[in-house]
Amino acid sequence: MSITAELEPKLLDFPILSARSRGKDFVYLDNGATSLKPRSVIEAITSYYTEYSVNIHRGVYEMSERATAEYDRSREDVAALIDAPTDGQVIFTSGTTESINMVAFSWAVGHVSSGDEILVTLLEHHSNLVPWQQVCRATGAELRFLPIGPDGVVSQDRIDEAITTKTRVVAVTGMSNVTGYVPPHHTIVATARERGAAVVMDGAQFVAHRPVSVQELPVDFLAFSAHKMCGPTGIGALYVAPGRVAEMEPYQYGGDMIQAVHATESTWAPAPARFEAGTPNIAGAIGFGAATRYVRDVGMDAIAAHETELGRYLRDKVGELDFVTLYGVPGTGICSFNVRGVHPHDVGTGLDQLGIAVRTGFHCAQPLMEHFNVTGTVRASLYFYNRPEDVDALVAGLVRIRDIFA
Amino acid sequence: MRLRQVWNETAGDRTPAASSPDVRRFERANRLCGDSVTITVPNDAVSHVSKVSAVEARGCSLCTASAALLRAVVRGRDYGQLRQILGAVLRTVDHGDRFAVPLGDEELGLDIDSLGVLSEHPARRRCARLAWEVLAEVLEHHEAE
Repeated sequence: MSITAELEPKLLDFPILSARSRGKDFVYLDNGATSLKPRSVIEAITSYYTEYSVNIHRGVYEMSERATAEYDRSREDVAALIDAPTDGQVIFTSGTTESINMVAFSWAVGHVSSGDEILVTLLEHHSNLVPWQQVCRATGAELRFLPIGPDGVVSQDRIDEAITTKTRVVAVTGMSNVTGYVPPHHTIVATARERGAAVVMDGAQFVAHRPVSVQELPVDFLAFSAHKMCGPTGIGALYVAPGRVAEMEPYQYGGDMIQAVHATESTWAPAPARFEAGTPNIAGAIGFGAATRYVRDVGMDAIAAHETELGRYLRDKVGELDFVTLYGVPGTGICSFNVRGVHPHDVGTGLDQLGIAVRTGFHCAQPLMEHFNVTGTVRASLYFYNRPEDVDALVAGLVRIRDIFA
Repeated sequence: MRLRQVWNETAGDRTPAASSPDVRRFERANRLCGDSVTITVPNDAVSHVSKVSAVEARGCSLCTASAALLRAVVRGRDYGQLRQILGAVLRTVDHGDRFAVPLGDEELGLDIDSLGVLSEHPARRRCARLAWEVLAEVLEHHEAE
């Protein structure tokens, strides 16, 4: 197979793709951890720092007005990426983790109580599990798990019984960061709405790799990060559905989030500013906006189609190796596996010697590793700039590692 | 004992010994990958870690090999010697310093010295350090007592 013709020129947008690692051509297969950055994003950030690196909102001078305009434009770009309705809110955060914590502590602790249930899955990244453990400790609610099968697939016929009238929150990944599996969101969201539960979706992988419309998939909260989709680190967003915003209380207080401050009491600014206390990550937000424009220009449908096709090639080629165990199911650009008898870290180091970057370990998803009964896996994860040659390099590397450790 | 041989001897998971009133277990796990090392010391061990009843490692080749080296090192050493060896091993792993503590076993010394290559691989240092960090806990515990 070959890379889709319209994506080929995009490879030139990424300076790092021509880099070398350990003296070899750099093969990047760790996109689940973070994506590489195109020139347009790097230039947007550089432009802020070199041309108008001043604070937003409070300045009454030209550069501050420009910074404010760029910051606000980025919010609109991020909203457009997920097809947010105009009465929904996009709050800038430091990333998916802060976004989920914001839901937990700005909303859930005030709306969940003893006797209620919070439903998660064993697929969750720690950032969509640990905050819910803490909410349960704080409120007396019970943490329950939506069953998954041995292959890490949500049992569709168990959704109806798992989401009960006691369920107040369903916190679910949009796409597993370990296996790439996409749970049956529409069934989950429809059932949760019917039972009066709010859906919190961890979109760290999902939003970066699939076209997402929160109008077609009406989740209550959607958390995602810029750096998984060609943007900078340290910036992300929380989308809040109309109706839920009024239910949230700030959990950080300070400058920029207030309406009026008196000696003994204060009032809050309207959302989203109410939830963005302090000087925000301005450069990050501007880079985030540039990243959303970039991936939308590439086309989220084209990205999804390429990753699905190349992901199938990846899974097929790796699966053909008789010394490899695959986990999960096909369908996306994320593939977890182990070389039998070789620890994932040793596989990772062996591939690194060949200039190939993969992720090894338990990928911040320890409960899923326990479910698979492994101490860790090797994960190869694709983005739209990966080519079949990258997969071929990985497969050749795995054969070499098998030979060394045999 | 060559390093390769050590790797082969330690391949595979081991189940740490169960706790009992007669032994104290010291355990540490790498939070990033789940690798773990356990050192079991009899409660009546007074002056020699040579009484260590088990050094058990679960993890990658570096983790298990490093634990095997530690297992070989503790035999017949007193706590004072082990403190000196521990410091030298960590300098070898972290900074690539030559390991030059006389052990009375040249091959064992050379095997420990080979861990110096990890100074160029910071992400894997923790794999080799794990066993020695558990030893540091054993030594601290002994000092406290």
